Amino acid sequence: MHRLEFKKVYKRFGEKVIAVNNANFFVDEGEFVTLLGPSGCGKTTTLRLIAGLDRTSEGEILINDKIINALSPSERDIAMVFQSYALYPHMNVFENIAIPLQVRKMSKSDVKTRVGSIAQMLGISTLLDRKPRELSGGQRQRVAIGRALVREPNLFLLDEPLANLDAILRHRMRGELKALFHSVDGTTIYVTHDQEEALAMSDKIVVMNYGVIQQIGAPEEIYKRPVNKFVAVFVGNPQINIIEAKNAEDMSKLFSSSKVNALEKLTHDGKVEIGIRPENIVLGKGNIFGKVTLIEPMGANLLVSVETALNSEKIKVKLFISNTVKISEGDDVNFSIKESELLFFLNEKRVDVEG
Amino acid sequence: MRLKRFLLYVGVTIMAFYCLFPIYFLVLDSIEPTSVSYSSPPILYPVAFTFSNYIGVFENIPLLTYIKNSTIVSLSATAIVVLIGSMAAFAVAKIKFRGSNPFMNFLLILGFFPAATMIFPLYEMFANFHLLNNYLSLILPYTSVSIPLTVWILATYFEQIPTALYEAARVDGMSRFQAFYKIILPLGIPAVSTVAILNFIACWNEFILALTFMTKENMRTITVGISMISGRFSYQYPWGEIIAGALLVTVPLVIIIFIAQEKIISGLTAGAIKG
Amino acid sequence: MPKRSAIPNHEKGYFRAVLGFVAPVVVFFTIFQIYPLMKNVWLSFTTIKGGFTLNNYYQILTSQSFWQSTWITVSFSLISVSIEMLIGFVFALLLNEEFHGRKALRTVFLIPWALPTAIMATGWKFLLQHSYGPFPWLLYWLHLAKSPPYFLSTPNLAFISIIMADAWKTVPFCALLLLAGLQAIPKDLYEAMQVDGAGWFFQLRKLTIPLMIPAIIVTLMFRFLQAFGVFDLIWVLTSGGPGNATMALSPFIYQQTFNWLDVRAGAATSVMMAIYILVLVVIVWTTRSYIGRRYAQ
Repeated sequence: MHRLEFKKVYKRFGEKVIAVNNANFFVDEGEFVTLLGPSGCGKTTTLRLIAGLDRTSEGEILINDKIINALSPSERDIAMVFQSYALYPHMNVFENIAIPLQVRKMSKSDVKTRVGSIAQMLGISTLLDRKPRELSGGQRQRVAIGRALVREPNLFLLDEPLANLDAILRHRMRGELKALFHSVDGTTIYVTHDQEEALAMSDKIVVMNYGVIQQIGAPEEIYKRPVNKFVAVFVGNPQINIIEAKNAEDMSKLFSSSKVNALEKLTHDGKVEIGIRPENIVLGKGNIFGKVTLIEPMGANLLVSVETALNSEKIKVKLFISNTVKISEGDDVNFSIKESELLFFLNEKRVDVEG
Repeated sequence: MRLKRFLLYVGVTIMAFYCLFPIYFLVLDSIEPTSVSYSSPPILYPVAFTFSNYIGVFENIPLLTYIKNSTIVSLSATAIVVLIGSMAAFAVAKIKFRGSNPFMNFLLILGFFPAATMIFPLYEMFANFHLLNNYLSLILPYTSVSIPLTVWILATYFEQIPTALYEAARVDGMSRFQAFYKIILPLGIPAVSTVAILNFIACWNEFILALTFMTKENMRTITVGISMISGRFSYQYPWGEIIAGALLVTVPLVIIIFIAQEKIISGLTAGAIKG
Repeated sequence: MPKRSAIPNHEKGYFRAVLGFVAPVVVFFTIFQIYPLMKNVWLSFTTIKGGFTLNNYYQILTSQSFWQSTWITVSFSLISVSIEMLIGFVFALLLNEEFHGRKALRTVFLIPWALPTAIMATGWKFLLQHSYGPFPWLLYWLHLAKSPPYFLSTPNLAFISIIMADAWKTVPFCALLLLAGLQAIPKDLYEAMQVDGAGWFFQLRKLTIPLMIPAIIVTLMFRFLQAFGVFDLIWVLTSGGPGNATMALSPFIYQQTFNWLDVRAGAATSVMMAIYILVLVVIVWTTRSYIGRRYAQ
């Protein structure tokens, strides 16, 4: 199994574009690490740097403490699943999976057993004679994964492997992939723009934006203790509520005076942004009053938008309630906030507030 | 890695050499005075320099007349074929009338018949109508010969323009012809210009029909004019002047290539690979 | 009337509209393409007095020159097209790599293609001249020939000359066509192969060539059809000579018609050539759809 490390890695395209800006991170043996971020954030470029398909502009990439910058993709002992799957259209499933073994000049009978067992594991044994164009999206994806697994590499790279599947299949494959990559011994780097996928599958998440790594941490940490507003907003569905408090009076409407005092010491102008996840707002008790403006049924839960007034202006928050509660748009309601779960942002950065 | 780069550049040099070495010798011949260029064995590097061949070609050969003739014929044929070809291509691609596929295939197959297989009847026809040594005797057949490629490339391109645009135009009250020249044709301009360039070059380069139908010196086109020079001097070919003329008339084509490289390549691939 | 789309198929004026769009092309084609072909068919079956005869066909099918012409045309097309595709493919592979001056080289590649064949042939006629043309002397100086060869007056060398000139003009063209085919292969397939550990030659053998086969075959067949009609090159470079050593079918028809004024023999030869072309087209058409089905992706 491989350990991977990025040291001060930059990747520039031309003069203006910095796709990866001073990336530093470490992936330990057997970890499942997700690179997460919106499109264009540099996550795929990072993956391509690991694979050797792009060259770093600056910095070092190490595998097992050896610098591999100069190695060609074929020398890195890496397997990759492409977003497009990159299945060879003129070869059937068997040949597609067999290619990495043929490159290594493995004997025909060995190739046959290896491909056979991989196909069995992925449930595509009956498809071995088919050409990629005769397969469904999900089947193609399995073939691509099979091609990556077959040579038992030490490092797997997966570039948005679920992006081209429909919603139902995507959910199912999410679970299967997680189980699969936990069962095979191997370090896995997974790229996605889907924060739900990242939260559900990873041991560790690397959040990127504009080429810059924002935060590295376990899923729970990323979700509960985002380092800045970008991470807080990007992770979590529905999005976190962000409320701008302009002064102490605004704040005191939302939480206790001890916190207000602590906050006032931190800010110069009394302005602070407060992040509240929808699940941390409790409807029906508490002393914040507002009016229901919109109800979005989400199955088991209702997503309720409530408008309330701080001193200076009106704000809107979204919260969850069970679909058994009788509520309709226009209702006057009261709610409270779980103070311990509040997030505070000053100049986009999260600050810890005592009290 | 480094070896691969080295081999690549060796290959690149060979390719450039392949395309350019005949041209080098031609240019060399055209700038040498007769005394040098008729030496045997030949001298393969420049030893003297003269413009006399380039001046001589204008004095001894009606080069400007040839150029004028070629220009008139090529431009007219190109204009006509683009006009009528785009209409037919529209009908094939967007109206998709019954039989448009066999129609297209029929055009393409007939397009493969070499001019030699139909040259005498055409000659006879133009002779009967007293059109020999008349621009029409080239413009008309050139137009016809250009039809298959034109319709093919344009129809392929028009196919890619969303049919919804055409349908929207019709629903908004346009006639088919309006929808054609107000919506589809303007959107098809890139392909139209590609086709125009390809056809212009093809007409400019045509030989057998021009050789047959234009028998008077003052009606000859460039290709025939240049290649016929040799016949007039029985004692010795005026190679320097011939080559100078050949290079001169190539210049417009090279300019077109420099300007419209991308278009030409895209047209060639559309016309040849898929065709 | 059943409505299938926003525009019903046979609304009022449909046929008139279609006719309006297609008529000009059809008229041109009928007069300048179909009529001459038909007229040649008619001529080939008639005597000067207008009676039916098979004599014109008897005359050419029993003549040695017709069959020699056929042979020259077929061998010229086969040899030159194979050479062009082979070198063209190698050039296309090179052009597909990244290097300095790649765009400039692509432009240079268009020059031989855009040169009028007749003018290019004039140039080659000079290059191959025995006494002061550079080419025979280069071969001599490079010890590839014992003495400067007489290219245009030795039958075999004349045949080689037209192939050489044709290859010079067409190799770059084929290379550009094949390059377009190469560039149509998705890049991530190559990346996948690299990650899987494949080297350059493995990629060429397992990916590039199999994926290029349809484009190669189709281009080859179309080039063959084009080469089959060769006229300008031969007429200017060798005039079919020496003797009849380079008299392909097109110049042969021209010679029969306008030099020997045997219009009906020319017409019969034209019809024979048209039949050859038709057979080729049928072969091309069927193989093309076969290839299409076999390699469709």
